[in-house]
Amino acid sequence: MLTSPDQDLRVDEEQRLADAWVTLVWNDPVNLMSYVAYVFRSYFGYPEEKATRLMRQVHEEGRAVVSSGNREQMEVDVQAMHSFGLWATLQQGGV
Amino acid sequence: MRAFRWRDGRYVAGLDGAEREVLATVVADVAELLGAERFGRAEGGVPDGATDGADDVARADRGSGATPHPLGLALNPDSVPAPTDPAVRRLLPDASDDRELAAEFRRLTDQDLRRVKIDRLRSLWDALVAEPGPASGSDSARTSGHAGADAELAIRPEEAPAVAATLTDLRLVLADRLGIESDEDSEALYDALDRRELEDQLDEVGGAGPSRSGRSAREELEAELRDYLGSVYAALTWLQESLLTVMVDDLP
Repeated sequence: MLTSPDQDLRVDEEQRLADAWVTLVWNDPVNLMSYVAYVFRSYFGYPEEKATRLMRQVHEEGRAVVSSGNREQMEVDVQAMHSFGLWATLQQGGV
Repeated sequence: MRAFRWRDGRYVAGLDGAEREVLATVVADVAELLGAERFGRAEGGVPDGATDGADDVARADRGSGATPHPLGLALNPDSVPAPTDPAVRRLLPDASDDRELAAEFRRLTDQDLRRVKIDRLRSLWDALVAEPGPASGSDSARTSGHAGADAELAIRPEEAPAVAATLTDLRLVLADRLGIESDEDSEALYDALDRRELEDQLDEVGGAGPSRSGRSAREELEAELRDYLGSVYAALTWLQESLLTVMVDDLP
């Protein structure tokens, strides 16, 4: 089987993502869709389209990865989400 | 209650005296759940206006669950137990299903999060109970107008995110007390409120007949309390949605 450089790169990327930490936001029946999208725009600085897509993913799939980085960065993000009243968790690796 | 609208550089909502009182009570209740001293207690529920800084610090420390260090060092406590009240636990949720990670996160953040939430509640409470002031002057969030039907809650745009977050905290606590755990529960609440309104209208039309026969006095009281909490929840939802509408318009 041939291995293309692209595949090697992809493996590296997968490994990097597996080592990284992520912040997950979970659906709840209380938070308004407009508020969740607002938080994603104002806190993470995401464009409207991305913020809306992530908000819909939270609402429809029950959760979404909203940021990734090292553990300390994710702790900051999770704390910010909790201060906004969103239910967030951090974990290592993809989901 | 009138929706938030942009006016003269502020977001302005209409809240009459009774609405402000109900909202201020919920604000004080939630702050107390988070460990704050009862807002306005010193004067028996009468607005206590400005407080001095030392008092604020003392209050925040009491809410932290941490004991002050004898040398005055701001040490994080060795461990902070998860809140036993499910409503408080929703405001300060577990940051992981890994118990060790969740405990470490709680140890590091519980104090800060409580302080942030209590400070925001305090600002809103101050604005809700403030004496109606002149049409311009004070720079902070405040209500204006007479205590009657046309009183207003005016907030500066930079204060709006904190107010929106606080409205979420209030709604999260009410939702816990109302048992709202799913989108279906939320819809059922609104259906019940609509039904109740219809029943009340029919009662008015039909006179004093026993339209809700079969209910004991206790059941009736519980239903009324639930209706009351449900109405407050619905009103806060509506108010927050209207605030978000003007806030989103101002996003870059």
